Amino acid sequence: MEKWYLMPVVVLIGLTVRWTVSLNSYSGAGKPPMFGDYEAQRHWQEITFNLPVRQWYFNTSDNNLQYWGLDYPPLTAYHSLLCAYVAEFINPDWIALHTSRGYESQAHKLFMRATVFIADVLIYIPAVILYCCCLKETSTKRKITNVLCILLYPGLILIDYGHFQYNSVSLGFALWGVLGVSCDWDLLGSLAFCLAVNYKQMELYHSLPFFCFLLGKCFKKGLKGKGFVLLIKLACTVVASFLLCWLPFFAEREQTLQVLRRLFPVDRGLFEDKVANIWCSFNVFLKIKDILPRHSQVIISFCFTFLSLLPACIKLTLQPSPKGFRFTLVSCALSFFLFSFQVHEKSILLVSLPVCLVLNEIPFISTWFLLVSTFSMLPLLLKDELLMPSVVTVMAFFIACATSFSIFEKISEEELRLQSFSVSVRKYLPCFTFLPRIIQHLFLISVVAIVLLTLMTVTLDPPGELPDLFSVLVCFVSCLHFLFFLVYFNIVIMWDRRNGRNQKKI
Amino acid sequence: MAALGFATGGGSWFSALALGVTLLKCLLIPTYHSTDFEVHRNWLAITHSLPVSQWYYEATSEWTLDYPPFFAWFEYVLSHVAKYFDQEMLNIHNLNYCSSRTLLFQRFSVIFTDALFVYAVHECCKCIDGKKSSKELTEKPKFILSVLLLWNFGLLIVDRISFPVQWLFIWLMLLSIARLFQKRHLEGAFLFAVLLHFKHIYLYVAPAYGVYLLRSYCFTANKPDGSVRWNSFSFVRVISLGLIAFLVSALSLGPFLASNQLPQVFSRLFPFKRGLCHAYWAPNFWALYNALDKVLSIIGLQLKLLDPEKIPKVSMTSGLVQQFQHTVLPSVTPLATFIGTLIAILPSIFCLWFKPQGPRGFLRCLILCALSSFMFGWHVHEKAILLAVLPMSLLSVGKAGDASIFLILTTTGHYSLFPLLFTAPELPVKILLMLLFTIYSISSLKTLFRKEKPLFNWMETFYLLGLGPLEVCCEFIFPFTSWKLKYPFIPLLLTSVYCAVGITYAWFKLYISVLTDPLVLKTKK
Repeated sequence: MEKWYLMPVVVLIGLTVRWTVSLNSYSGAGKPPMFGDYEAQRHWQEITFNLPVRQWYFNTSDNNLQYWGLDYPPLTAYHSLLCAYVAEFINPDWIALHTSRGYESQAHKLFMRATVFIADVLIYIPAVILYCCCLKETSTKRKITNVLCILLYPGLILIDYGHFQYNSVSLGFALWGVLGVSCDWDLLGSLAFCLAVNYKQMELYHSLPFFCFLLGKCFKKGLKGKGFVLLIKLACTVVASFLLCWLPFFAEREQTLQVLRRLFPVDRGLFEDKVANIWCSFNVFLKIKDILPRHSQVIISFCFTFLSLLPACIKLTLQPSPKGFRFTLVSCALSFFLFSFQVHEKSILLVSLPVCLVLNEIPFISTWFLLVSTFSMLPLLLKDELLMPSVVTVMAFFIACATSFSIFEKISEEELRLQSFSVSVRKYLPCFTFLPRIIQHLFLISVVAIVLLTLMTVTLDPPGELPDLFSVLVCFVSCLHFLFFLVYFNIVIMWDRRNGRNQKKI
Repeated sequence: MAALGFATGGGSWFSALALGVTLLKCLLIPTYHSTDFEVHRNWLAITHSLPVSQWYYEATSEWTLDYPPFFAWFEYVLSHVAKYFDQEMLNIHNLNYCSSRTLLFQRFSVIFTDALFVYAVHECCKCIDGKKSSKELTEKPKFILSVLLLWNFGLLIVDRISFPVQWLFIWLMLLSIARLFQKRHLEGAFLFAVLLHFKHIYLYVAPAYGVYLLRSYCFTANKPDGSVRWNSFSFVRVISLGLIAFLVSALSLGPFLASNQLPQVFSRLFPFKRGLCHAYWAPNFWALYNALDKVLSIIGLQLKLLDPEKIPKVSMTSGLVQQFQHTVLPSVTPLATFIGTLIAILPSIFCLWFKPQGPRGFLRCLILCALSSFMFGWHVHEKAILLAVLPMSLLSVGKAGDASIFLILTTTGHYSLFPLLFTAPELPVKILLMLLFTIYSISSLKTLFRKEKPLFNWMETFYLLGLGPLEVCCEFIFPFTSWKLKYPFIPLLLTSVYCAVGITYAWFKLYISVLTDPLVLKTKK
């Protein structure tokens, strides 16, 4: 019990790394006319502070939606408003209407970074600590190292504190949701998750597992008795929290529709920039984006997404368990990332969060995934001049995971949760014993590929006719990885319960 | 795979710790750097572009070369690497030159010399006797010691803003201490001699080395009651020690002696033209003395005992290094500080001679020498406290009493370094790192000595907790008050006086524990 003093130490390490990364450059620093996400967040403060709520999502003479128009749900807007009040108190120039466009200064950077830091400290970090403390069947030391590894995950740090976004808020709420639902505080959990969805619509990637898990719980309790009551309660919580968040926009029908149009911009195409999903990788061979009409793109992507996540979701509904829930979160988010419409490269963070949650159970694969996920954002990070902090934080994360979980010793079938799968394959193919070795070799190849590609991207100039060669390669390689992980996680989910039954029989 | 697993796997926590701190330093690259950066650049330029004979005459920049020759040679070597980064920084007349590549070079030169420091820490950890071996890794003295040394807050931030060479000095000192612990006396003496010619501030701890080597190395045996057996004197050992000292000095100062430049070198090395205290008072005895003087002069003015006309209108903490006149108390001369230091050092030296207690006793004496010189020295820089803090880490994992002194000394000493990093973006960094180190050191040592009496009494706890409100007042509340313009130096003054109390207390407590420690008679093998 006396080891608990290491907890503040570990958290402080996480905080220090966060703040030191924030001393680096941000997206669009000194790049007029559009700047980057940093300016977007500042602009939203300006808009929400100076304009009435009715105009926030509408194109008016004061609110040019072409210039970083608000395209996140209301909670983000309220957060911007809150920050704007603080900004107004410190220096009104930062959020003056029109004149503050592209405002940059050292003091302002410090202010913006501090807002991210405070949001992180208030929402995400307590959730991580509490989550790890609630882990079952783990020693104190293991819990603490788990906190360290999750807090050091480089992707989130680099995007929030380098690139500049508030992902830790939505991810933090989602984590509170996971925590609540797994600890049987279903109402609080669903409330937290509704807040997450209302902060960033991308949180919908996680919504299906939440829905299936809660529905499964209701089924388990019997739909005619307690289960039905729970279902009604949950529905009321969700509706109430949505109502509360959207209250100002329900005044007129046009308002609500406009917000929805802003949130789901169907006309922005199948994908943007370079993202490590199927569509962008497939685009190398066949330009689907230009061949197919827009609405069939939507339909195709929807079908693929739906089919890929269906098995895991059905499984979860029928056999709800906190563990299965976590794995389903991973596979669903990954399906969305790989197949859905209009995916952003930063959306991989939505997959990384649930992977962080299973870090304790399958350290080897999780570490591997988290490294690849950071690598998949390399083009973005390079554009923001974050090479140095990226390399350093990735190495720190890798060392932390490797020393605390000794991942290289945990590659047996059992540690990889592939035992029952192998057993069932061996019924047909008796010599099927090489799976762990293959995975081990794949890991080595993947690390070499990642390092080589990073070095090439950093040092070499791409040939003139293919200016995006390296970023496309990065996306393609990461996409292959993600497909492999999708298959792996689905196998783990589908063969999970069978393993449990076998053990019970024995 | 296996190799990778071995490099990062379970047993090698030490390399994980070392790599961790190196990575942290890489992250700190974009942080603030002080004028020391320019000093260092200028020295690189001097040694690179001028012949040896002019190194100590060159005075284009105000930051003349004031370190001993070995250090100048070190800069010379570095400059040959530097030219591949940016040729421009090696131009003497390029004052205040700073490009991103120059910055990168300087930062990386720190990070690479780090490897040496890590080696020294590794050696030090080996010579700690693991009598309290606990099964748990985090409760092993070796683990705690390596964290205390590698992740030392003071070194981390001093290095960020200051020369990339603190590590080098500390490396030499720790390694020489480790060698003495391992009974490799000649090596230890050699390393210390080299260290002296890298940075002469270590002259302060030279008495400890001298007496210890003479008493425990040159005299090979003791009488049964522990006093020296005069006939056991070994001439061979003395001569070999002397030879080492002589050869190292000859190598270092010889070229300057040959060209008759020695007086010039010494005038650069020992500048007594600077004031008693640095711009920001180091938290030592003189800070208390100055503060008392200020208080007395204010009281005097209030009671009309002093004539306002006669009071010199120079504020000591206004930011310039300058001569200072005390108003009420007598002014302090360099000679007085020298005598003060000497008197403060003497008892510990006597103790080392009459109550030899092996390497551990030597280490205590060395710390006392370093601390005494910090307390009473002339123009002491606040970062000199690290000279005492780092060796003290070695003692802290051995005995509960030492641990409690160490914690008071370290916490106050580190807090007193806060004003060195005064820019807003670095404020969270220093607070977070300070909290990190303090929480770790206090709780790990508490766990280590949990079976003994508590480490702090109520007064010490109260004092240490007081640092928190002090920081809040100085950096969060004071800048918003109207006093900021009128009395800008108040936060510095408060910090330095508050810390001076703690450091004086730690010094006192350590002295008492050394003087009253019963003589342990070693049974001769």
